[in-house]
This record gives sequence, C-alpha cells and structure tokens, in this order.
Amino acid sequence: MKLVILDRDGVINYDSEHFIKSPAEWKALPGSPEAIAKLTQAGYRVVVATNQSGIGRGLFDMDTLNAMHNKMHRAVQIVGGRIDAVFYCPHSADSNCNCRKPRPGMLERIGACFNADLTGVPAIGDSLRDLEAAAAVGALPILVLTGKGEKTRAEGKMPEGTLVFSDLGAAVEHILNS
Amino acid sequence: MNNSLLIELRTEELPPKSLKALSESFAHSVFSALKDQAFASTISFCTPYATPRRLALMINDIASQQPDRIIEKKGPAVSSGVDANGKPTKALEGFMRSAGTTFEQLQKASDGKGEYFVARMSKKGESLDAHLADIIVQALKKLPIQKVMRWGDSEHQFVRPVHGLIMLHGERVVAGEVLGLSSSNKTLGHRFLSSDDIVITKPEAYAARLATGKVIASFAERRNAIAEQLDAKAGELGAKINRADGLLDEVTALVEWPVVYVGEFEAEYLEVPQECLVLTMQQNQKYFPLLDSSGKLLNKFLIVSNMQVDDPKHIIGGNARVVRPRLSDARFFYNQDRRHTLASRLAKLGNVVYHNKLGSVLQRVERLETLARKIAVNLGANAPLAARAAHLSKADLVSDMVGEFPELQGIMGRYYALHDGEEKVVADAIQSHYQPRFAGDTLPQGNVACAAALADKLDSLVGFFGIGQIPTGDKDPFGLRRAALGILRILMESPLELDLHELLRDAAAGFQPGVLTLAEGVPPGLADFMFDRLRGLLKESGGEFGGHAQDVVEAVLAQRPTRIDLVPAKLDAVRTFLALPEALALAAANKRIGNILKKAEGTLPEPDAALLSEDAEKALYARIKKVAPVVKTHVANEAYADALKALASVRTEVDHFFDKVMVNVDDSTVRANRLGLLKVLFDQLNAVADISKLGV
Repeated sequence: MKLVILDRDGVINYDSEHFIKSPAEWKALPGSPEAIAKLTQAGYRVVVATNQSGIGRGLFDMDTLNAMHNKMHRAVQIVGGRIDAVFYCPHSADSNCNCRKPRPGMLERIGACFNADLTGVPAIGDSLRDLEAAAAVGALPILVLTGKGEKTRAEGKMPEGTLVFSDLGAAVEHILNS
Repeated sequence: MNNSLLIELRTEELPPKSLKALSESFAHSVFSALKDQAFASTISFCTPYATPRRLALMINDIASQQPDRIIEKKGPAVSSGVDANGKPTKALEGFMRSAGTTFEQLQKASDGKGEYFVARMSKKGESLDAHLADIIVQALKKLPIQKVMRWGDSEHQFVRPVHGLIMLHGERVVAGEVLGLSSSNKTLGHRFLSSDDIVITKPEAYAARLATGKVIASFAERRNAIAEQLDAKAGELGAKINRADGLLDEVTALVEWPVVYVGEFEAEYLEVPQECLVLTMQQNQKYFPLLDSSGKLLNKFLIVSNMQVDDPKHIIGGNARVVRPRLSDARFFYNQDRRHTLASRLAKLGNVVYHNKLGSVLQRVERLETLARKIAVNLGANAPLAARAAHLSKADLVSDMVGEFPELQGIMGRYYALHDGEEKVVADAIQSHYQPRFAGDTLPQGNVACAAALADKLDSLVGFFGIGQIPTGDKDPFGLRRAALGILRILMESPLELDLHELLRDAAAGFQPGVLTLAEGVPPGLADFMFDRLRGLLKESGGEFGGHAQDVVEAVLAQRPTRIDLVPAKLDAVRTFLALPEALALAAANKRIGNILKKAEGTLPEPDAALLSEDAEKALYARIKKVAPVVKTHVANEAYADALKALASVRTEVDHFFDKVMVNVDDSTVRANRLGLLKVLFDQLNAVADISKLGV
C-alpha cells in the first residue's frame, strides 16, 4: 500500500507557539492542500499524525479539534485531495504516554490500522520529534523547512537518512518522482 | 408481514476503482441469501445504492417471518448406508447425527444413478431479526477486498472503517449488530454540504431523504447526472469531451453530489503532444479533457467536484494549481526526450531484460528487424523501411515520457521519430506496431506497419511458447492470446498473402539455436493455440469476419489452413454450399467415405478404368474425371464456392454407387481399385473444407 504520514502544524498549516486553538487560527500553508491532492491522485493514502496536547491541557476541547480538522478536510477536498485518517495524541507532555511523538505509539497504531509495513514509508514533519518517531518505526524521516523546520535543521540532531525539503510541495514532488 | 427492506452500511471513503464491484457483490450476496432463506418473494427485486461513503440496497416484499419449510438433506447411498443385516453403517450413523434424525425417520429417494437416504426435516420459520445481521456479515465476508483495515479500539476488520448501519424493514428498525455497529434508521448526508442526522422513516424514502442531504445514492443515477452535466458544460463551450474508459465510473465513485466546473491551463502547454496532456489530466487528475470539433485538444477541461459552492474560484484555481506542475512535467519530459534521437537510445535497450531466457530488448529488436525485413520482402513492400521501423520500435521505452506514462509507448515513438526526421511511414509504423491492442482495435495500416506489427507479435508468441511459457486458464502474463489474435486479424482482415506456418518458422529461426524447443521449426502446441484463437474469432458474433456457424468454421479449420487470408472466402463458399440441396447428403457421404478409408490399409492405387465392372462405379469414375479438373481450377483461382458447386454435381453418382456397389469384396484388386476411386473422390470433396463436419 502506498502510504504517507504527515505532521499537521507547521507542515499542512501555519504553526503558532501558542497552539492552534480554533478553526479561525487554522490556516493552510500555501500549496499544502494541493500537495496532498497530488498524493491522493497518485494513489497514496494520506494519514495525519499530530500531537495535540492542547486537549490534555484544556486549551480546547474535542469539538474544537474536530472543527479544525473539518476545515482541513474541506481545504484538501476542494482541490480534489483526501486525508484518509487523522491520528492525534491528546495527552499532555508530562503524562508519559506512548503515543506522543517522539514515542512511536501513534505511528505503530497507523501501521496496525492500515495493515501496513511502515518501513520506508515517508513521514513528513517540521520538528525533531516527528523525525525521531519516524526513525523509531523504520519510516523515512523527511523534514520540511516550514513551521519549526529551519530551527530543527539548525540544531542538527536529525536522524540519519533524513531528507530535507523546503515545504510539503517539494517533499511530495520528491516522493512522486522516486 | 411483507415490507420493503433497507440496508445501509456507512463507511469512510471506499476505494473508487472497486466501488462498483463492491456494491454489486454486496447486493447480490444479500439478495440471494434472502431468497435462499425464503424471506424474499417471487416479486422481490433488489435496488443497489453505492456512494463513496456507503453501500446500501433496498429490496421490496421481504417477509418478517420465514414460512415453515421442509428441508431436505441428501445422505449416503442406500447400498453403502446399511450393512448386510440391514443395520445402519458408520457413514449413515454420522449422517443421522448431523441431520438430527433417527433411522426410522429417514426416507429413500432416487436420482437415476441410484437410491440414497434422505432426511426431511420440517423447519419452523424464523424471524428476519434472527437472520438479517448474519446475512449481512456473510455478504461482507464475500466482498472482493484486497486489504482490510482496523479502526478505533475494535478488532473488526473491513476495507475501510465503518460508521453507521441501517437495517429497516418497513418502518421498523431490525435490531442487530454488524462489524460492531448497532442498527438504526439514521444516516448522514454529504460530508461537507450536510450536517445533521438524516432519519429514514421507510425504505422507499431513502433515496429522496439522502438527496436532501446532498447525496445521490444511486450509482447509476449519479453517473447519469455527471454525464449530463459534462455534456451540458461541453456544449456551452462548443467542445467535445475526450471519453475514456472507466473514468466516468471512477469519478462517480469519488463524489456524492457531483458538480462540474470548467478549469483552464495556459495555452502554451498545447505544444506538448496532446496524448500526453490528455493522459495526465485523465489519469492523475480525473479531469475530462475537451477537444474542438476537429479533435484537437483545448486548454480547457472539466472538473467533477464533490463540492457545490457559490463562488467556484477556489475550486477552479486550486485545480489549476494542481494540474500545472503535471503539465509542466510533461513538457519537460517531451523537451528532454527530443534532445536524443530514438536511434541513439538503442544501446540502452541492451540493459533492459526482455526475459531471462529470451535476452534483452535490444536482442529482441535485432530479431524484429530481420523478421520485419523478411515479411516485407514477401509482401513486396519496402523492406528497408520495415526494418527501420522495427529497429526503432522499442526505443521510446527508455524515454522519460514513456517511463512516466507507459500507455504512451509507440505514440511517443512516432512523435520522436518525426522529430528525428525519420520517414513518415516509419514513424507511423512505430506507433501502430502495437496494434491491435484490444478486441475491435484498428489494425496497422500499410505493409510496412503490418510487417513491423507481425514481427513484434510473432517474436513474443514464438519466444514464449518456445520456452514453455504457455497461457493457462486466465493466466496470460505476456499477452500471448492478444498477440495471436492480432496476427490472425492482420493476416485475415488486411488481408495479407502470407503463410502462417512460414511466419512462425521464420520467427523461430531468429532465436539462437537451442533457446527454443521446436518441432518442425515451430514451438509444439503453438499451431493448435493459433487455430483455437481463430476458431473463437470466426464464431464470435459481430464484425465482418465473425458470426459463422460452428459447423462451417469446423469444416474449414479441419483442413488447418495456413493461408489465413483465404479463410473468409472458404467460409463463405461453405455457407453457399450448405444452401445447396445436395449439401447434407454429400456431407454424410463424405463421412462414410472417410470411415471406409480409415480402415483401408497401405497406399491406395490410382483407380484403373479397366478394373471397373459395375455401371454405378463406371458412372462415378466418369463423373469424377469430369469434375476433378474443374474443381482444381476453381481452387487455384480461389473460387471456392464454384469448386464446391461443381462438387455438388457428383451427388447422384455417389448415391447410386453406394446403393449398387459393394466396396469390401473378396477380390483384393477390385477392392483396392474401388477404395482408390473413393480416395480420389474424397480428396476432391475436401479440397476446400472438410464437409463431413457440416450439418452436425
């Protein structure tokens, strides 16, 4: 199965240090819905894996998260794409759960749900923990320089074999051409 | 009480390419289970519904309670059911246990082959509620699904996560559970254009209720709606839609509420061959490209969207942004590819393995060249051009464009050949040497193209047969059936005066000695394989060359004709012959003679007039002497109908001969002479076709 795993904030939409807490704050990065549409049209299943500790901290509730995701689905649908599933970790950083990236739980769960072997599956993120979670399950870590991407690259602790692209559009071009 | 039944399974987006098959399978399985279990009546019929997010069906006149029934279960034969003492054997005891009957309750029945035991159990009718969920579960298990998913915390598995279940009988919800979902009468409408639960009050209201939630539930209706909108939009623009197989079905499986918008791209991309642009739009974007009245591509296309919005500029703009990079890729490949000539790409083909026993594609191309040249010589065509076409025929396989779009093989070859300054006839042959690619496809035109096309197909057919890679059942990984049909159609329909056996031998001669297993220069079984395809082609209804009666086809093919171009004339002749009053009598006589000759030993002498004594045999001899040269001339002139007509005139003498003359007499000389006479007659009768096959 052709599968791609995407982080959400800083990859699909603009990130904010103060969390994206409402549908109004959720704004797609230029070209990201189109990039997802390209994946869909090339036969990829597109899955989002996102840490949403804002829920655990009580910054927003599930209804708000669903509303944000509805906005995201709609933005992608309009250009003919589809996000097949959204996996999120609602726990706060100190809850020591196994699903919060960089832990591998959320990605492992995606593999189990889709009956898919994650080896070499592109996993695109903007922060180190996205890349570490990807590396932990044998997926292919890809860093985009949107969101926290520049900072992550500057820190230089990326797992071996991490690919770097300017944004989701460039990363998707690479995936489709390889 | 009998009522309509509605079932809906609401899921996440189902795989578009298989939605139709899933829906048909689901509806069929559920309906046949309801029939088998006596819930459906004779007037019940099933209306399937399918959208990207639901599989559903409605069946009218479904009973809430099965009638009481007698269920029959067939057991072992009487002979093996009881031993010598009339006691039940182990086998019968096992059967009684499984059927839950006693020996006394068993009855006997007979089916013509013998008597057997049968258990007839009366079964009390049960309620729909007791069975419906299980019927659905079983139907889901039978769906043609490649890969299943898990979702949520449940251990249920299905092709996509499921979210809702309706089981509604009349106005009543049938309680039950499927894939962890409890039944209800609620569903959801369109993912974005509808929000609240939709309550279905009765099955008949389903489609109308969903329409209020911006969902066209019926696949067929939605498909029609899309087709109509496409036609309307194309009409407004004065354009034609470039139809593509399967695209309308695929798009129908992607949307619940179709809305067609017009998209546009920069006219400068039109410099790229339009086949590339069309394929990009259809395959990657699921757009419908538009053509002008002369078939030239326009820089406009139609988008079938699932979104209805007041201001479609986002949709149109977004789609244009998605398609532009693809078009720009196509242009890049096209420009890049043209920097190298086709001829310069040949060396690369040396690295491409055609088949590990049959060598590289380059080696294959070398064989094709020789073979195409030979065929062209036999056809009196321009042999150097045919060889050149074969030489370049596979070079586009290593171009970027064909790497991206394999469907463009041949098509790009033609464009690049023209760009390289090759002769037009060579360029056309490069494109059409793949034809015919499917039943009903056009044939390559002209002898040069035919030579290249025949060479291509003969080489693969002879090669794979020669290494034992013979198609079996539905497995034909190398497309050998298609290749065989292509050869036959080219020879027969063009028509080309070529001998099939020689073609196969020439093709086999192109391989290194020892690579192929050959018998008389041809892979064993290949001739039979070709005749089987030819038989099918001729019987298949439709077309100028098909639709022949079985006996006519068998009569002609029994001679194993190797000049395929002459087969249609022979078929027509046999058909004309069949209309003659003498036909069936002669067919019977021919069969009789064949049987007599089969028993004859040794070589038969030419009949000697001096040894003929009876009037009837003299008359037959005289008639044959008269007819034989006429038949021979007609056959040589390919006037098969005339030949058969001339033969029909022997009927009186043949009938008379069998009435009056005894063939198997004691005098061996006389007997041999009479057999010799029959042999001459037999050869004449079968000069065109084996007429003993007629009328059977």
